[in-house]
Amino acid sequence: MKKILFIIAVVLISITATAQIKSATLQASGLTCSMCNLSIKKSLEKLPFIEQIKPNVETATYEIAFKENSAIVLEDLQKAVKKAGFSVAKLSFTSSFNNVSIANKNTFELNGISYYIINPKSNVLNGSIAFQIIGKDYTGEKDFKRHKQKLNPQFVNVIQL
Amino acid sequence: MLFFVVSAVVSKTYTQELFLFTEPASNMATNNLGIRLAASAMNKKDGSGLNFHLMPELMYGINNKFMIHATSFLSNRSRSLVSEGGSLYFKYKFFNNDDVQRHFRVAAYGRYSFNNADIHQEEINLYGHNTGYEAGIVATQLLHKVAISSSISYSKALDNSSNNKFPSIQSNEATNYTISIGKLMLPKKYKDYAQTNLNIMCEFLGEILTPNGKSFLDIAPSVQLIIKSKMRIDIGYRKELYSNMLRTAPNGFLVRLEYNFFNAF
Repeated sequence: MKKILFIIAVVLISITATAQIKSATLQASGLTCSMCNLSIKKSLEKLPFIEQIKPNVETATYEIAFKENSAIVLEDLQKAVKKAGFSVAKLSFTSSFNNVSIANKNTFELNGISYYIINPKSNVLNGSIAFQIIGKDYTGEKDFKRHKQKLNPQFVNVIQL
Repeated sequence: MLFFVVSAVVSKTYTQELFLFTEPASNMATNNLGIRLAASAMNKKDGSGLNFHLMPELMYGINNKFMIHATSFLSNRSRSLVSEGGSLYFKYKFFNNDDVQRHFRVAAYGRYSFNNADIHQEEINLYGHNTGYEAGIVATQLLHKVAISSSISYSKALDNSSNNKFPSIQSNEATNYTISIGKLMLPKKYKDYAQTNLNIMCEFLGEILTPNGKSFLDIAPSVQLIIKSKMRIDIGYRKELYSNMLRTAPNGFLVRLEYNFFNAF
């Protein structure tokens, strides 16, 4: 009986720990033409964890849905945009949480990556929450300068939206 | 005419930098393959007809900084259309500053061309006329809705073949410079990739032969259609503004078709 309870506990903990990233929104910079826009979409589509991409050609923004239970690597989105010859102006993602405590440290872990919340809104993450990654390769120059002083270099820095 | 074209280019909405007569500092996406077929029909100055050149070209993006072009040159100078040579071009983007709907990029480029045709003019032209090499720098600024690109290069002509040596009385070195401006006319607002884009562009192409100092400057307006965000149709007219060197056929049309394959391999 103890063994069964232990297994249930492990399963429950691992479900909490592997909170899945549900979707992302990416805005690319350095382009206005639709041909450039399409080459970014094609580059993103090559990533194995992409389910669907809805592009907005006018604003160079891509709404990205991920395959369920796939190993999502947000860094690969940024690399795919670079491969197409452009940059990321903004990358935000939505993830589901189940009472994850971030007290004192303002950090959480997702798919093996540790994130630091620059602007925590509560001590506990619960439900569906959106973040924007703040980093030189993920943020437009003005946005990056605005947050530069608050960054924690040991983590992937995010602001809670 | 010149004022009209320039002011029209600067005053309106979106722009493109996919120029017809020059390459911008931007590169193709990694692992994208482009196929081009260009044809030029230039009026011979002596009134004896048209110089017709056909230039099939392959382009490939090796990574986000490095791309190559391979071009073959065919012409009717020996009455029927025959292959006269080819060219290898590479471009390395070494500076990139992107922001939403703007960028500033600088690239270095080089070209080696070979050609077995007879050398019949003082102009050094590595795009279907001379054997030789070229090295240059191009900078492209996309400023929200206007793109301006400028390049400067050094080129050196060599013997075209053992039968067609470079004339020793001519200057075999040149400085080339270009200024290109482009603008997107349609669509006014993007909705999807299927919309046909209409661009207009105006380019200035100049050469100064060294050491004799002879030079020319051409103007080259063009229109471009981009279909389904994959295919380009460019039509341009090149017109000599001034020249004090011997050029056989400087004025005429250039038409180019291009198709892009994304994630080619």
